[in-house]
Amino acid sequence: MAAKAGFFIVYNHIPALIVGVEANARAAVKRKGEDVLRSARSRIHRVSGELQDTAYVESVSAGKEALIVFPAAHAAPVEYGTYKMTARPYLYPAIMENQDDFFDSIGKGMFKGL
Amino acid sequence: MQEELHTAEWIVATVEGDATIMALISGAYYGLIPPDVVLPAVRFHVQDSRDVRGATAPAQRIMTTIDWIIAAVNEGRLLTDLVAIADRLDTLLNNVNGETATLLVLSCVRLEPFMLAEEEDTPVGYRHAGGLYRTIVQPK
Repeated sequence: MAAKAGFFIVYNHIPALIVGVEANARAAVKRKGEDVLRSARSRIHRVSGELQDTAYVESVSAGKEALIVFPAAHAAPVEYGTYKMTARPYLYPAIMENQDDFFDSIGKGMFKGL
Repeated sequence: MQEELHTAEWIVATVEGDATIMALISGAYYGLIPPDVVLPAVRFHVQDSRDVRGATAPAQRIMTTIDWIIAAVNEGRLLTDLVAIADRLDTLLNNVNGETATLLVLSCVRLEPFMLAEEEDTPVGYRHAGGLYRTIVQPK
């Protein structure tokens, strides 16, 4: 019996999807970092303004992560409360508000033209 | 219904109904521990809450997700006394469900541990240890 020979041509969109998701993820991280910061600032009860005015977003890990930084000394006590002060959470609710939209935006436009 | 307050009742009943933890703390307090209470004690507050509504009928409120910081607080800088309390809190509140006369607690799970070192200008500091817990609740 004669041996059979042949080959398969493998073609799929996975490499293109990986590149697209990576680009989307970087853009989404930056955009959502700014959205979270804006939302968190709006939730702070302004007294001296230090907590709101000193906050910023910093891109790290080549844009794959964003740090939302509140450098004021009273940032954690306001968010989590203390023995003598009730909490007034501003950052966690802002993250929760934006998390669904963040995951949606990573896949946005990925399946066009496939 | 104000689900946060009804769930707070359940948290207080769950913690204060346990003899093991009550041998270690003065009680569980929503928001702020009163100044006349002897520490250690448990404090808890809402970190975030959201209503879950029907996809086809958004006016219909199905249940409410409430995230809580629930932590033991003690005066001083030693964590030793807080270890047993935080462990017991986790036994009482992680992966459990329950109910009150008005509310079903469909689930209560810990999302992550929580610790806070509170320093002051005076020699007195405070330590907080517990967790971030998520309750999913529904009115009866």
